[in-house]
Amino acid sequence: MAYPFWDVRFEYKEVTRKPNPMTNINPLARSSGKTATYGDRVVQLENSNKWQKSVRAHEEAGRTFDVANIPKIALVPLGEIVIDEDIQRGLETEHCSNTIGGTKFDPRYLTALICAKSPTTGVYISIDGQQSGSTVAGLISAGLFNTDNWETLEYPVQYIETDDLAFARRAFGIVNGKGKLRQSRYSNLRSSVFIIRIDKNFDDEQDIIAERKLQIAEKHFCYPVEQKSALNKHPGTFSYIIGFDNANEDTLENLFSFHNKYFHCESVHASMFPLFRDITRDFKSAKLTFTDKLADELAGLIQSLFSDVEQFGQAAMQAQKQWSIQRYGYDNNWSDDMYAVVLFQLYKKMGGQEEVPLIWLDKYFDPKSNTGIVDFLTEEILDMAA
Amino acid sequence: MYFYIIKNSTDLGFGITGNYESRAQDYVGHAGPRSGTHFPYVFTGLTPHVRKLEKIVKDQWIDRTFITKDGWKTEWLNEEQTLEQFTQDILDVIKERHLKVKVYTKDYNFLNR
Repeated sequence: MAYPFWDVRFEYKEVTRKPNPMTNINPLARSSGKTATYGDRVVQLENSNKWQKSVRAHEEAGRTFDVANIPKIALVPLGEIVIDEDIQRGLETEHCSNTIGGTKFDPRYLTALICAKSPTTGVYISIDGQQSGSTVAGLISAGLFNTDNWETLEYPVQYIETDDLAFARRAFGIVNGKGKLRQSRYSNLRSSVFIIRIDKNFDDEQDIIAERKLQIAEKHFCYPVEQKSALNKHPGTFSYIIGFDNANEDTLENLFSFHNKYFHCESVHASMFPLFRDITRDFKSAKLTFTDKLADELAGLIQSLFSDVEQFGQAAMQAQKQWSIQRYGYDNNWSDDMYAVVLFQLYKKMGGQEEVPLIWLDKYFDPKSNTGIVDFLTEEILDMAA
Repeated sequence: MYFYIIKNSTDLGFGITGNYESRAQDYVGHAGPRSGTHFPYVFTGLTPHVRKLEKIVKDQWIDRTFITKDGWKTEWLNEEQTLEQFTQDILDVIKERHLKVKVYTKDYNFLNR
């Protein structure tokens, strides 16, 4: 269907800015000051429909549990613990040297070893934590601890009693992530930010950088949130924390200032991170300036044809799929540099006059047929862009 | 692409489709000819803009939609929502966000076509 009743131009149309509730409820601005008890958590679970279903399923199957089977805690001499090499991976000397036992080593960061204790032999078999245990033993052996015999050091162990190594293997899978809710990237970011903002501790350069990057986001009214947070619906929020973590400060400045200027009523789409990574890097390499006029025109193009960055991103992914199938005969893996390529090829196709890095016009372009990835956007979009 | 508002004798909802006639037929087929099922408004526009409109209704107006106990977000509205208010809000958001979406037809009833 053609839509003759709309013009598509580079002209960006202003969207009325509304007060953003995130300025007052940004969870990283300050500590919530809240604590909760397990009683609070039980109430929360009991109000969950999914939890009620799970409890009913246990009841209907006649399942009950014995508190005696909850893992126990013991202090066990390191020299008495054996490592089952069929369960645990081998020792990773680099991890012990650079991460656990590296320059930031502090024994207070160590966690208990996870073991299976054989009820017949009494032997503790390590199923998780050997890298930590080995590091401590190695540091004692090197004379860096205030004790000289690692074998007799009583180390905290969390254990289950079983001779069933299949069970131990399953338990190893669980403590290493299978079925376990891992710390999210957002939680790690929050820890770094609170270490700086609340604890006023500036010992770790990584915490300082994370907080400084957050300041860039907040300056432009953009806010990281947890992936399934109810805050996701608010303007300026983003949950693509890996993109934020990997971006340098120049990229974030360009990205968030563009978002706040043109798409302030939307959340920040994940495609903005690779798009502005490429814009920041490639304009610099090509010794070109990403002018205000170009920014205005790109925002107008996105708004006119796609309504917002998210819809542009989806259209770009579809174009990549079609290009790949047509040119190579199969759906090749998505590469996130295609956001910039599709956007700037489209800009030039529509007659854009500002200078852009040529690399994007050459990439994913077939000179023989004179077609590029941009030609695989939907017919509807191409008709409007023509 | 089309965005439609659907109304039957009890509920008000919304959705998007590439073929609104066939979608209306499906609704009538399931709910029955005396269910009063019809589309008070059908909007049309550029596909990404229609999808954006749907996303605003689904994500940003989530407080207005009916969610089951299991957390399934339906495309039906809470009972306090009226057709007049919902339609006006849709028209407002189209204007505010400069969406390339416009009213295509009103009161479309598959049984009366």
